Amino acid sequence: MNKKKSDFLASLPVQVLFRFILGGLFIYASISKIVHPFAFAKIIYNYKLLPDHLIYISAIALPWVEMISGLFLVAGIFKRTAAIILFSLLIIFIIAISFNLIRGLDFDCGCFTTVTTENGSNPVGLLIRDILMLIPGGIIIFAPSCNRRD
Amino acid sequence: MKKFLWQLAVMLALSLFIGLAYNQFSKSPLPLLRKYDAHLVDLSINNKADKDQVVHFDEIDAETVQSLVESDTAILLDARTTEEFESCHISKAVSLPSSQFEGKYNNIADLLADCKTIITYCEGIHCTDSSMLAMELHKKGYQDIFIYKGGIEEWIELGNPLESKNDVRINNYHKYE
Repeated sequence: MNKKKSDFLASLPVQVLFRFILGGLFIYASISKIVHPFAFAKIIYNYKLLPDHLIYISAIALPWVEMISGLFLVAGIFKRTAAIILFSLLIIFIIAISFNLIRGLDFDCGCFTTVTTENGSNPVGLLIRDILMLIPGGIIIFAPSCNRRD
Repeated sequence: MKKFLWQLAVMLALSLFIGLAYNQFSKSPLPLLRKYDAHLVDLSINNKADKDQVVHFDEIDAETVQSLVESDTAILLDARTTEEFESCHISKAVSLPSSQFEGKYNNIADLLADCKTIITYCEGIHCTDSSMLAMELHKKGYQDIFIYKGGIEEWIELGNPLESKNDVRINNYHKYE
């Protein structure tokens, strides 16, 4: 049964589907951040986790890491590395959101849009979404694939 | 492992290179080497929204704010939320939350029409509401707009007069609390 499950998750159609889901989500998420870098810098600042000197460089680099990793994953280039990068980003986002949830800070996620709201995002909803997004990443990284070349 | 690290380095370097290049050639690049400045953010967004028209709002210090407002030559607008305004605001300030600009602008449009100079403020050095409000007013055609960047935080530190919801003038924030 376990072998069957593992074979199913490692099969090419499932791997491609999860690559498109995870990669596509990150490509989509990066667009608003790339187009509105100042607004994204403000969102990073509002997380109150990074020193002021690192806000602008993070606002420049992070969306492109998401975009490039997403594109590589969808295209099947360095796919395991791309999945590890995106998986790591999700872990970082989960830690950042949890930290602010504990601190009781109102903040905007900035995940898929740089438009800010008056009351901020719902951190519990964000956490659940990010944890769910770990699933396709985990399957790409950990499922044994006979088709893997990288 | 070596292969993974090599691929990781390639992807991160590529992302950084494209990010820096994109920023360098964009219409309003982020100032990489500067510390984060909340007011700079919104002014740059404004420049984009106004199709490359450069808009610059001058800053103003607490002393000048006080003299202009006392002499009734300027109107002082509190860009924070209504609740924050009602809790405590700079003496003689009028509430116009940037987040509810469209809904509340008409209430004070007449007041603004009679006034040459407009000063906006919000919480302090890191808040952006005063810049956003200045942008909205600029779009409405107002020209003589200043931002009091220090905001209510600096005002309280300086011990300048404050008011609360019931127009009770208070001398300092601690007394009010």
